[in-house]
Amino acid sequence: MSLRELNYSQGAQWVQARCTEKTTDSEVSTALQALAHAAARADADCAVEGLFPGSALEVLLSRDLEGKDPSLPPLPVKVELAAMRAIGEAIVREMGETGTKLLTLRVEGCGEIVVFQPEMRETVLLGTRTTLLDA
Amino acid sequence: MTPDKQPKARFPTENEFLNERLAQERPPRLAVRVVMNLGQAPGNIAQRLSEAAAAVGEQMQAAFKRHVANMADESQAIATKLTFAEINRVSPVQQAAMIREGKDATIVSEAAARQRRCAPEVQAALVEHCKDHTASMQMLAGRPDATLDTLAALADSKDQRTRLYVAAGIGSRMKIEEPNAAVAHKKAAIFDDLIKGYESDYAPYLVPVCRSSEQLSEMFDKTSKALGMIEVFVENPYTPDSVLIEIASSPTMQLVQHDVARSAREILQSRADLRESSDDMAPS
Repeated sequence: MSLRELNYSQGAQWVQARCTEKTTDSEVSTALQALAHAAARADADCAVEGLFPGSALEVLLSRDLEGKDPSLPPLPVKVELAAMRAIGEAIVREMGETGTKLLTLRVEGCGEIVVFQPEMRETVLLGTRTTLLDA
Repeated sequence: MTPDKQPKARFPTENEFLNERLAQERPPRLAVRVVMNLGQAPGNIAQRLSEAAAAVGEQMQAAFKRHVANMADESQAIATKLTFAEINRVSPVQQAAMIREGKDATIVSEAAARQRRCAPEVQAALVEHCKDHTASMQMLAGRPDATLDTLAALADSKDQRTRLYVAAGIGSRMKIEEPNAAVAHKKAAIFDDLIKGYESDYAPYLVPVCRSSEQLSEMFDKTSKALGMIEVFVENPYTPDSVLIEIASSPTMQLVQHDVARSAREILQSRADLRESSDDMAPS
């Protein structure tokens, strides 16, 4: 399965069902595609802050070291800020409802993405055996 | 594609996450910190994401070089010397030479920037050799004794927090009337640089000292209309009527920030009265 094949519209519906932010399925789907594009393009592991406005969520991308999928999902022309906010809001809401502070997502050929509340940073770094370097 | 091809998202508890991970044999990894702050200056988000991803490899190499440099005995020795530079009476010129020597290690630049006194020569050396040391540049920009040359060099920093400290530093200095034209010009240039990359958080520092209606209008457009952010525009006598009208007539303002909206209406009224009275005084 390539990153191009991911079901972005299903992901968008998941987000829409969990957020109050006024945005459309199409906008969220586009934002998810842009995130997938960035994840596929990154050529180093990174911990990203300030990706989802309105939440303090952080994201750790641990790339697959082998068997990397060469296909790059297309970069959308425009991504709405509201859609990024909606994605963050949906994840935070799901975390609240499940009593968790971590989301893990494994994408074959790309790597693992961990979305977490800032207080989980040490846990995530320990669990993934990652040393975080300041840029 | 069918839904079962969807990557599996999980929300594990902290214990589940650690139990699972620590049981596996994994190679140690390195990750570089990337600060996006999309809420502050969204711009073209797709482009920013793509550019950030493209730059992350290079950032990692630079960060790893600094990480290794931090481990070196020479760097530790220089950092220690800089930490005790004041008590050992190490001259600013010698300190600048040490910074040049240990320029790859963040422990060196941090030790220099953390001193009680940071001489202009030391600041210049830090800016020249260690401008990509984010934490050190934040410390430097936030120092009350940061020189105008330092602030000028950091006003276009890629780091949002560094620029915010520059805004705070220049904001407080803009309140002082400068008899020296060259210094006044330098301050104005830093101010203008910050306006070019203006972000909402600068408002408390830049808006009260701004005397250009055009710049105030530009800043207002880019400022979050959240609680506590708009008063500064109402309080500035150079804020144009168009901005005050927007504040006074905004339903959200009237509902959530009633006092601010009322102040804007009162100022608009007094400006109108003033204009009317000056028209009456005009020779017919």
